[in-house]
Amino acid sequence: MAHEQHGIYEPKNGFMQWIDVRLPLPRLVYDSFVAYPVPKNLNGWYTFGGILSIMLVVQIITGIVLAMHFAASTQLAFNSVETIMRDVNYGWLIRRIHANGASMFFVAVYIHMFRGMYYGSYKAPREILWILGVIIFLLMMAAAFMGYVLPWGQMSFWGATVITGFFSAIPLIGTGIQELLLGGYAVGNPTLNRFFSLHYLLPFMIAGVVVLHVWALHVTGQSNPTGVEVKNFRKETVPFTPYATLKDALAMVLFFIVFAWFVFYLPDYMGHPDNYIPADPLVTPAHIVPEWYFLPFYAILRAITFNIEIPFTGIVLIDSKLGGVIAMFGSIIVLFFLPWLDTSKVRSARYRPLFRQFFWIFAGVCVALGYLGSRPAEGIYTLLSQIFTAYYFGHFLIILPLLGWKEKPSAIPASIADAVLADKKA
Amino acid sequence: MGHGKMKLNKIVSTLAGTLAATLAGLCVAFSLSVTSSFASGDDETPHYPLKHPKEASWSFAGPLGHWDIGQLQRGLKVYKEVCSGCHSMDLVAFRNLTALGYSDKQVKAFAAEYDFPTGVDDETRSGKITDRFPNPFASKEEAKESNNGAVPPDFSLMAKARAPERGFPTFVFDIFTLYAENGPDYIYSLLTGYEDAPAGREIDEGLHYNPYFIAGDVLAMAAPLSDDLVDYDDGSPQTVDQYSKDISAFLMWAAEPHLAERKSMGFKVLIFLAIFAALLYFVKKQVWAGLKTEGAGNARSTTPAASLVSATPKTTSAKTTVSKKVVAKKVAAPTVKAKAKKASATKAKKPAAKRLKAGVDFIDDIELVDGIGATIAKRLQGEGYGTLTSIAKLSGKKMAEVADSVGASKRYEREEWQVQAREMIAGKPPRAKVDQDTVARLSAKAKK
Repeated sequence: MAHEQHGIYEPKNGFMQWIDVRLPLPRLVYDSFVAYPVPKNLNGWYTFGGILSIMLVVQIITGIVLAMHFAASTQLAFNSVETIMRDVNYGWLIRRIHANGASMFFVAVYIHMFRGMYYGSYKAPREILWILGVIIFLLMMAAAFMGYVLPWGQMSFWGATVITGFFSAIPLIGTGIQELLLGGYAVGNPTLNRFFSLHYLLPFMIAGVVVLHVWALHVTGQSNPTGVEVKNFRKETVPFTPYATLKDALAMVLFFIVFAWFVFYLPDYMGHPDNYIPADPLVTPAHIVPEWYFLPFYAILRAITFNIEIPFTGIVLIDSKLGGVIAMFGSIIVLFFLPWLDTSKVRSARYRPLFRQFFWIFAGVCVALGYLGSRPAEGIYTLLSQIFTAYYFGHFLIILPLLGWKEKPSAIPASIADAVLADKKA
Repeated sequence: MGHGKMKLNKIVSTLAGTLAATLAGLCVAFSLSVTSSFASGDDETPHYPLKHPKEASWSFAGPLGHWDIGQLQRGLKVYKEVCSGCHSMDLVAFRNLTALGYSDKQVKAFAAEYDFPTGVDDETRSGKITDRFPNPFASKEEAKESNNGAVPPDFSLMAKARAPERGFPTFVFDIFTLYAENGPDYIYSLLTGYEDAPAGREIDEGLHYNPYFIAGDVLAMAAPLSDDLVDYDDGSPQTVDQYSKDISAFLMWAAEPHLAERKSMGFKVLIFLAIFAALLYFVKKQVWAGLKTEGAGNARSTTPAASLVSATPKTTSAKTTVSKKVVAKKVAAPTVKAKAKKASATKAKKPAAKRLKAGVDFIDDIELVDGIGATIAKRLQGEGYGTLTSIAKLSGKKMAEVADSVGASKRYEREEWQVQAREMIAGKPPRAKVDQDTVARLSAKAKK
């Protein structure tokens, strides 16, 4: 793990020396968060990694407190959450932070991912870094979904019913997987119990993968808006502390302002009112919708309304349900291959005029899919979902590979320092 | 070739533009089609509620929202005298009523007006403050039986469980206007929204037309309020409109008793965060500004030696290199010594600098000398000879002195410390395999 870095750890006193030769943890911290070189030219979009770390901590701390008061039983869950809201000291605050924290976590992770896509942060040698990120994203989705089930409201129950239903579409083993997830044949007490257990486990798994993610980051070094690797460490990087630490801290506080805005003033904005109705297996809500952060994927799931058949025989290869599930999971799986699907040698969209345009179209398509996911699956909505779903996959499977081959990038600066100087002149 | 590529770029760019325009057009088209289907009302599934809730003004709206205690008390009266005949409120306890400005004594008396079964035979006891509002029906079935097949919903969370969609783009503006009152607005609109069904709409017996109802155009509940139904003793108008407002506000309180506390805390938290952010902004600006005046350099590099070394991390934690302490000592060393060192450094610099420019192969660290380990290196650093350049040009006599002072009087010659140092300065790799690896790894990194 030899690096160029800003300064060497020096134990300040006898005690620290004693520690240092036995378990050099302070040294590790120093190397990783003090002396670690950070490209000077990182912009605000690069602060979301730090924001995500603090959000994970916030979620774990509030979650542990909530778990002290939560009763994982179909008979008690809904009211135990209401007890937290009404009678537990500051329970309302802790739960609001946790519930809105999940949403803010996704806000941050989506910005973080789109930033990575824009600046080509996933390209060699950062493929594993990117893949670890996608794994964290998947774990987050699982954790968030299971967390949403716990309050045992109408949307919790029916959301769980719909989403676990996906698995039954898998041929042969699907029903088995579904029953394993549910702990029975339908969503019930065993489901709630295992979801609670897993919801408590997953954040710690996320924390573990985050450690790998940060490790991979510190091996390759951070990418930067120019996409040009650091050439002159002395000229082009600054020590993590105090420079990046302060910048990240500022970004966190600004992010907390937005966070607090929702927690204190719009706490139910991102939730669904039906979740204030206790779960009732006999009453299906008019529209079952997942949390907003799953809506694009939900739209993709519902876009596949047709069976895939062998022409002229009528033999169904993939029915629409399985097709939808494949498309939905595929839309995330494809992210794993992004480093190889994007064939361009140039990292940053700054120097890729065409990619830049396609990037923004892609971002718009994702937002549009999110909106469509919140609409009932009927009429024009279905058609639009299909068009945008096709585009989503087209972006990764056709546009990116071709762009790398055909696009003529604009002039790339020789180094970060050059780019910064050019910016200053302009 | 290059020209052809440019042309292609242009074509693809135009294509991208067209694509974006098409997608945008699609979005507009579908939002129009949605609006038109709303307007014409011939959609397969009609969208409820038929009318968006009316927006009333509430004391608890906005960032400084607070309860209107008088209104909550009136709302409680409406609930008690009208609604509680059919609607339970399971999650609200009598003790909670102290938040409505009642004393403990009053709450006790209020609770005592209710009877609760003791569970033994048919005996009853009077209510205690820890009891919750009793359910008017013994069971769901009984509730259904007496209400035309529909169970009157519990009131505890009504103001949060009924929130008609705001629609695009209103829901975006709501983030900034802090609109979060669609629950009470809905209840208020529903209670004041009963009207005769439009011509042609046949309504079954026991159902009542109301365009504000969230799940259809008719509901089982008849208009529950009428003017002068409940006596107000504070002079407020005894109208359906006022009753509806008061019960809606009361239900908001019942659904979220900590709402006012939440908003007042939020206001303080946001002010704190804003000030904190401003302070951090200026601190950050100041710290980064220091960087600019320094040019592109690193604030921490202190000595010429250190700047040549460009920080050499070690493979094992036991090894330490140039420390700040040592650097400080060096700086404080007698001028003669410093001068000598400087001279030797300048002389040795040429090849070293050259190599460094390429960013590779030379690391100015005494520990790279075969024979010098962590202990000796540390002692040498303590004497001010932590770098290769510093010993390379020492006279034989001086070298002997230095070696003697670090307890290596016999070894330095045998191990050819100075020869090794000069070799490395001239661009040769270190003699020891371990040290070669270190250098190779670091330079490979630098090359990248």
